[in-house]
Amino acid sequence: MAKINFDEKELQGQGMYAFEGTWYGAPYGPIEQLSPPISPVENFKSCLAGEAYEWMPDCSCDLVDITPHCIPDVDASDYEGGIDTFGVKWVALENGLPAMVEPGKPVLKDISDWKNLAWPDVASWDWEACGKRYQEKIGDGRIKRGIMLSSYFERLISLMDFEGAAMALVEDPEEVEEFFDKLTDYHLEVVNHYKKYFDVDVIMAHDDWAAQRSPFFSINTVRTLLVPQYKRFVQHCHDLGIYFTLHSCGNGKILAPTMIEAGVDFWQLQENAMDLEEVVSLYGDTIGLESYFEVPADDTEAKAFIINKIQIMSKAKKPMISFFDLQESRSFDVRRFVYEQQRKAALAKTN
Amino acid sequence: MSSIEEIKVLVETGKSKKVAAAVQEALNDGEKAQDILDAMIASMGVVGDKFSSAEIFVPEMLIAAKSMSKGVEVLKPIMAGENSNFLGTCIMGTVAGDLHDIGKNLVVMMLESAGFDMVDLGVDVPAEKFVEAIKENDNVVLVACSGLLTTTMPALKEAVQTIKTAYPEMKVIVGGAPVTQEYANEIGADGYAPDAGSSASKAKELIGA
Repeated sequence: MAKINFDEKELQGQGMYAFEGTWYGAPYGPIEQLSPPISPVENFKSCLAGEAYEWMPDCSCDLVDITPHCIPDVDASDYEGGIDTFGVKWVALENGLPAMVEPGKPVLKDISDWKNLAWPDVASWDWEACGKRYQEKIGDGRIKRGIMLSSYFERLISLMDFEGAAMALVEDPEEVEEFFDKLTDYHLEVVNHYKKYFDVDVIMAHDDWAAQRSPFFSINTVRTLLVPQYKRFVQHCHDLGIYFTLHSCGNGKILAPTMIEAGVDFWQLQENAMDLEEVVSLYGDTIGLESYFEVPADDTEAKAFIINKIQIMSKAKKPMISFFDLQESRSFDVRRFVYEQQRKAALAKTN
Repeated sequence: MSSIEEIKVLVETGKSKKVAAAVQEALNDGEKAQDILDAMIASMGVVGDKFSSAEIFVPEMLIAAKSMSKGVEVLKPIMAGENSNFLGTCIMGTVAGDLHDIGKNLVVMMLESAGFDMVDLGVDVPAEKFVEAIKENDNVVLVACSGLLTTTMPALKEAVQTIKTAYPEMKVIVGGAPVTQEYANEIGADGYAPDAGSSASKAKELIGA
C-alpha cells in the first residue's frame, strides 16, 4: 500500500516542464509540474518494478517520450513525410494525420531480396548532439522513454506493403526469420545509442499486430517469428537496466500471452479496440498495462470518465495511464483532477 | 481424392505454386473449366467463413486468394467467350481523404474470388468518381466503398448518397474499421460487411446471386 497520505499542497504548481524536439513530429503539449511527495522517476520505477506507488504513473506528465530527429524514421513518419531509415518514402496526408508509406510502391516485392537492402549505419547518426540537447532540457526529473518506430511487422509492411508482408509470414517464414534476426541486431545497436546518449529508462517499440476487430495473424505466427526476436530485444534492454514497452494497436487481446512469453514489461494498448476491463482482468497480473484516453468534451462527463478509467486501470498490478484533452477551456483543472484521482487510486490499492 | 477436390484443398490452404499445375491436370483429365472455377469459388467461400470466425487470419486468406488467381489464369483462355457465371462488375474504392488500402485490397480479392469482375479505383476516391466508373464500365451491379478513418466517415456518406442520387437502383456496400451496420443504414447503404471474409457473401446476397 502507498505510504504517504495525500496533501492539498501537492497540487501546487512549480511551473511548466521543459521539452526538447517534437513528439512524433508534433509539438509536446504543455504540462504543469506539481508538487508530489516523491519524484515522478522514483514513483514510476516503483510501478515498473511491480511495487507500491504513490500515484498511478501518468505517461503524459511523469514520462517523456523521446523521438529524436537523428533517427531517419522519426522525420519520415511525422506530418511532412520523407525517407526512412531503410530508404522507404513516406508521404504527407492532406487530412492532417501523420505520414504513411507511399502505397503501391513496395521496396521489396520478394522477401528474399531483403539481403540487398542498404542497412543503416546507426553510429553515423548525430546521437551525441541530439542527446546533449535532450539531457540539457529534460534532465533527470522524469522517466525517459526512447521510441523505436516500425519494429518488425511494421517494418516488413513499410518495405513490402501490407499484403506482401502478410503473405511473406506464411509463404517464406525462413526468409522472414533471417530478416527479423538481422533487424534485431539493428534494434540492439539503436538501444545501445539510446542508452549512451539519452540514458533512457524505457524503450518503447512500435509494432501493430492487430486491426480494430481482430489480430492480423495467428498466435502461432507470433510465437514462431516474433517471440524469439522480442526475447532477444527485451533481454538486451534488461541487461542494460532498461524496461521494455511494446506499443501494439488494435484488438490484439488473444496475442497478449506472447508478449508475456517474450518478457515485455508493458503493453501500450489501444483501449477502444478492446474491452479494457476484460484485458485488465486477463493480463493485469502478468504484464504492465498502459492505456491512453481522450477526455470527453462535456465537463461532467469528463470527470466521471477519468474516475472510471483510473478505477479500471488500478486493478492492474502495473498500470500506466494518460489522458489527452482537446478542449481549450474547462470548468475544472484537468491536470490536477487527474493527479488527485491517481493519488486516491494508489492509496486505495492493496498490493 | 478427385482432381477437383484436390484443387479445392490447394486453394483453401494457399498452395499457390501448385494450383496452376493441378488445374491443368484436371482439365487434361476432362474436367470442365466451369466446374473447376465453381469449386475454387466455393473454396474461397470456406476461406471467408474461416476468416470471419477467426479460424484463419489475413495471411492465410491472402495466400488462398493468390492461389485461386493462379488457377483462374489457367482457366481464362479456355473460358474466354464462354457464358461463365461471373456475377457482374463491382466498382470499389476507399473514399475521399482516406489513403488506407489494406481493407479495400482484401475485399477486392475476396469479391474477385467470389466471381465479381472488379474495378479498383484505389484510394482517396471522390464521390463523383464512383459515379463516373459506373457509367464507364459494363454490367456494374455493385459499388463497394471503404473508409478506415472516423474523420472520413462523412466522405463515405457523401459517396453513398452521390451514387444513390445518380443510380437509385445501384446496390452499395460499405465497410471499414469505424463503420457499423447502424451507420450503413443511416447513410443509405444497402449492405455492410464487418470484415473482408464476410464481404463476398454479403455482396452476393445484395445482388441476389
